Amino acid sequence: MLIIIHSETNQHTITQNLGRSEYSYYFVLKEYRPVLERIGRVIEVADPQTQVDALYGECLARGEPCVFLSFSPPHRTPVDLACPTVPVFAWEFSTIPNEPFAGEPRNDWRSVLHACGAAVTHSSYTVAAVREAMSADYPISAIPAPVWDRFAARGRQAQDHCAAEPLRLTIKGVVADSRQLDLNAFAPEHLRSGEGIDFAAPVTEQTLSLEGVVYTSVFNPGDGRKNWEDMLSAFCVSFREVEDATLVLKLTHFDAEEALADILHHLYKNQSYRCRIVLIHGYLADPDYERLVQATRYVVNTSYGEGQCLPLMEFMSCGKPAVAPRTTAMIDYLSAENAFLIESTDELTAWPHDPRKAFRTLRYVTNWASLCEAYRASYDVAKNQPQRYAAMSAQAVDSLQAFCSQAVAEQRLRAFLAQLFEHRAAAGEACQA
Amino acid sequence: MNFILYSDVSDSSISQSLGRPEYSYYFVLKAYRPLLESLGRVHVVSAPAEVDPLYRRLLAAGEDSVFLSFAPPQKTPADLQCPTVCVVAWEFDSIPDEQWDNDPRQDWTQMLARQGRVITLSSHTARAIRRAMGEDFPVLVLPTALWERFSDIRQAHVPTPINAGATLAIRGCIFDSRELGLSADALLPVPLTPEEEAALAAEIEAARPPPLTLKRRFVIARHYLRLWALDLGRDLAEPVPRVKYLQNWYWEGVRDRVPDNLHAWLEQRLPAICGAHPIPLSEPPPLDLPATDGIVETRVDGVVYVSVFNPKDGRKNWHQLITAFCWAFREQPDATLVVKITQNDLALYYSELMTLLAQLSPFACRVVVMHGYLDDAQYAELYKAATFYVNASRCEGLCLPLMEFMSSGKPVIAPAHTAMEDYIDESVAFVVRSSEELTIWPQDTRIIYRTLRYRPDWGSLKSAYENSYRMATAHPQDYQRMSAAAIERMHDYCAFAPLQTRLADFFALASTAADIEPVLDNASC
Repeated sequence: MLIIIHSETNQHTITQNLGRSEYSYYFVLKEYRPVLERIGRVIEVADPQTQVDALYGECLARGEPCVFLSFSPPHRTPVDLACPTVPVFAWEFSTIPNEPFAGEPRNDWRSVLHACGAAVTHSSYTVAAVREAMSADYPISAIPAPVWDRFAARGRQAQDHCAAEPLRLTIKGVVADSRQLDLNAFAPEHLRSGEGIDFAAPVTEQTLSLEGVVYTSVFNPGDGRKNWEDMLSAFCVSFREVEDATLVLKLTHFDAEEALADILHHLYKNQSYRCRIVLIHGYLADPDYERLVQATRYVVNTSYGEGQCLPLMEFMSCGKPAVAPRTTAMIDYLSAENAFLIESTDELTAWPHDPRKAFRTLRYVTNWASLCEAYRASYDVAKNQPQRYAAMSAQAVDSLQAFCSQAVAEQRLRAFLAQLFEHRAAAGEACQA
Repeated sequence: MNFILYSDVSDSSISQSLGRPEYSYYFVLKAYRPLLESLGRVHVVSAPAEVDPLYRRLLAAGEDSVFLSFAPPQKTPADLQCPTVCVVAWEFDSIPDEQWDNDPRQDWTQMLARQGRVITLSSHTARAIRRAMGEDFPVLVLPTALWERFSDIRQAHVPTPINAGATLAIRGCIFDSRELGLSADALLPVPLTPEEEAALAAEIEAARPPPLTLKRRFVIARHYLRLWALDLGRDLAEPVPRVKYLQNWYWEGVRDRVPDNLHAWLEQRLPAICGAHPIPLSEPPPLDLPATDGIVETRVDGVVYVSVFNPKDGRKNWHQLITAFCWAFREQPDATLVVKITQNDLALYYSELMTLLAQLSPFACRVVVMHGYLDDAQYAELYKAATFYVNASRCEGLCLPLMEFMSSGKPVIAPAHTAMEDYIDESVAFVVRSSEELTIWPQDTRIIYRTLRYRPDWGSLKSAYENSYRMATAHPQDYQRMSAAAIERMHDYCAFAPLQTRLADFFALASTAADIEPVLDNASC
């Protein structure tokens, strides 16, 4: 079988696309690839319009089954190819776009999903939203990016190290540490004083030492869904007097200043606090990323919704319990056994790519007080209940194995593709008859 | 006892002040006045400077006075001889207990300690004050006495869950979602047709200057250098500085011949000549706003929700108030939301409101927005027309309209936080859940998070709409019970006599208060 894969962002463009829309599709493609390679031959194409049907034609001639997996939202998935095309997409809203807008018929996702006849997404929440719009038996499978195997292995290694002493990380980029910054440099203009951060300075290597109860979150601050304002303010309030609580925000964005400016202002705005906030903008080499994971006690997510949330899955696969809301894709892998759950409520919003910003769907807003509660309870467990922490950590590894191991992905992909070809064969026969 | 009253906003300035932050102080002053008149003599001064002379005059005549400042402590004079008491409208869980901008008055604890006592509108504010000042600090919680004002409405009108049809009139204008031609697609600019595109291209082509031949460069140079040499811009109606002509010459006739890598260098060395022209700001086209000087009216019926707010007041959370309504009732043609705006300047909110309604469309329910001035009779019709009143605020110092509609026998949708904890619960309201969130003290120029307000829960607000609609349409007895409970609650909360007693006790006037005739009939404000 030939499996053709494509995402608009690829290995050549990822650096400048970090943090731009749809960039994360490339990471999903990368995680899928080893599993796809167990199922068939895999070819990644750069230009589907010219390459896919040529490859498909060759397969037809050989009698080899062929499918094109387009790692893209449906409105950016080609529907005019002869080759069977399946969108692989992330989504975190209660409804899928079911009306065309801005002159693009594909913005009505139903038209694309009808044309493709099948689709892959990452969560049962989105499967339900798609079936609600299509039909109860529409062929769509929830297949999360299989990150568990790689990270679980790292987690086991990390546990061999002693976590009691401070861990040192080397970072090529910008590190902003609330303990070392003059926060008044980020005050409103008329009150500004002190030295800020020189973003024009050449990138240098920084060393960061982490100890105590470390909470980590990895996200793109340009993504409006992340709600880092709550994450930060609740942390500062919960740990105003707690010196050994640290929040590390590892920021993924192509522009350091744009990524940090707002957050730095909020470091000022939340004063004063004895806990520590560290912002990291820059590249972490694998061993340093592993040390960050190792130094972390809890992984934090406060977003309005997630298509799957790779960083959360990665840290949990390593045995880090979460502080997060159990909404959208996170319903599939969060529970009170592996996370301190934040309450949330629904709120009307627009589909993110709808330029009209028409209210058509729901997102989930965190309950701020309950986030404070989750911080305090998790800190108490980290400090005073080692057994409970260990149990939650083990549970995190197990739940994520069930959610996003390569074995799970392989099994679901095989079943999905088998059904896809079966359907097409049946449809083909029906046509001939 | 003499009560000397002052508020920044007065009878004559209120119509311009509608919607300004201090305007609620004016309403509080007006509402307190009859209570104060029943206990002593009231003098309203038009400037704080008048307080002490009046105080001394009264003192010379052997009379006591107290100055009630209907203004926040930082705006209340701290150096008066006259005993001063602030009336504080406040909606946060802490009061400013530190100073900024080198202004000691910003620290309310200093101001209040000097005054020795304080009047506020809610238990929530009283708690915040006592947390900062100590449990024993004298705080009077005094909501405005308005229950008696609604006796006419209560007598003339039995609240019914389904409005059979009522006419609402206003001097101003009315926006009706059914007549606005709302469409989400219309929020995008219409793409040009090929013909329009061609016409536009031709226009741009025609406006392009002729090619820069040697001759043309010479003409340009001669033209601008002459203007420069003779400084001919000096005497124009709007004088043009000489160097401007050199700049025009450089940009129109020279710059394209200067190598690219010199552009920035020249711009730095000779900014007046080689710097870019400022980009002309294109004024947005003026809004096509309707006339607001006539009396207009509309009919409403069915289940009618009413809310009164100023869209520029950040506490009101009115986007959610409207979105939850439209989402809950997107298929209910007999649900209507009437919004009475308390903001004079239509241009300040018109586009925001119209965009919001378009983003929500299509919906079967109806939104009616009333902009303008309601006289007493027109207001009475609005009270009567309501099935429910809605509040979705992040925080409230009191919320007069909510109390007014409840006093008219209308059950409400509202959260039970801040001031509303004093009178909102499940027996009179569909209570909207809410969660705390950090915020700043509004006057704090440092904009540091120092206090809490509330984040109403949208899902719970939507459920409150759905549940209240179900009650109105299917369980009229429950509605009547809730209506009666609302009246009862307001009687307990803001009837004249108990508040009069409370106020008299606070100023240790209890004995005289007993002798004073109740002045219920005069208690209108």
